[in-house]
Amino acid sequence: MEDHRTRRTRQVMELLRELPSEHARPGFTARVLEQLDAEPQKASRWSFRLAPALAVAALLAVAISAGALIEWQGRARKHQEEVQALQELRAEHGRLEAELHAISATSEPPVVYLGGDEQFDYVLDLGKVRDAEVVTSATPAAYHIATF
Amino acid sequence: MSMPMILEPPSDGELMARVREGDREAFSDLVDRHKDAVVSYLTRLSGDRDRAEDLAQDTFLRLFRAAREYTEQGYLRAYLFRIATNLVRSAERRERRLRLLMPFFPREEHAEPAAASGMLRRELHREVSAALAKLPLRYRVPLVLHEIEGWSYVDIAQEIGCREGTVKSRVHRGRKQLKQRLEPYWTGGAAWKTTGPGGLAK
Repeated sequence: MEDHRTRRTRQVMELLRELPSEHARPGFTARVLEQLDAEPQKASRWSFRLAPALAVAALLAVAISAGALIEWQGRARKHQEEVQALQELRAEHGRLEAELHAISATSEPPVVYLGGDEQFDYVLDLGKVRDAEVVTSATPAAYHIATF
Repeated sequence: MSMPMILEPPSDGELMARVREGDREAFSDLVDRHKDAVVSYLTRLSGDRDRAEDLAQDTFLRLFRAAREYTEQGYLRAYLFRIATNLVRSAERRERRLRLLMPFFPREEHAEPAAASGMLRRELHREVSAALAKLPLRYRVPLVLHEIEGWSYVDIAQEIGCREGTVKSRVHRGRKQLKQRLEPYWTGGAAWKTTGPGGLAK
């Protein structure tokens, strides 16, 4: 004795199996063969349209790649120039520092040239400056926080 | 007295071998042999007779194009059904995408059954067909193959590439969902009796 649920399932499956079989409509095979015959023409039409599009796409790709290469080369050159400039600045700094060291190494306290005109030169003799701290390691003016 | 020679029709494998060489006549014979089965299968899967016819034509065209890669394993119909299933899957995927893009277009819905009214067997079949078409494809395919085409669980598992247990589970879920969709026919209130071309037994 089947229960309600089993009976329902059986009924649904019976309905499913009762669904009538379908038959292809008359001329089905002929239509398939027609589509098959039409295919090579479609393919050649498509290849005819695709060929110039592909050529344009290829040209664009080459142009974009060339542009990117030129840009990259430009950037590399600029970077090289910047590196070189930095190296020169460092070399110059090194020379100035060496010069300052050389000046401070003299036995005499250094003098500082303050300026002048045709008749007079104004020089500050650091040796005569009371409580002046002899600067043995001078730093460029730009590094001083306090100024005269 | 000489006996007339009865020529056996060529097998599917023999015809496919000729199709591989581009034999259109062999291809035509294959189409004639399997067209009804494919159209019927696609009608069950898609729930739409006209679309089934179009998809069936595409199925055979794909068979022709894939003839070189086809390996004869003795069951061309299973191969055709696989192509057909993939075509239905692709079509439904396209439709889902289209519905996402065009939410304001009204969808064609099958009318809900008038549960209180009596029904002719043919209309009932139409509703069963519609309910079947609404099942998810992963349940619909094994259900159709098992209940309508009469395939074994083993064959279905091989066809769709999963385990036998999975097939059984999907068939079971397909049955359950189909039953739920057809529930209004039983709970409409009217008591139907199976009297030949009548309705459902309550």
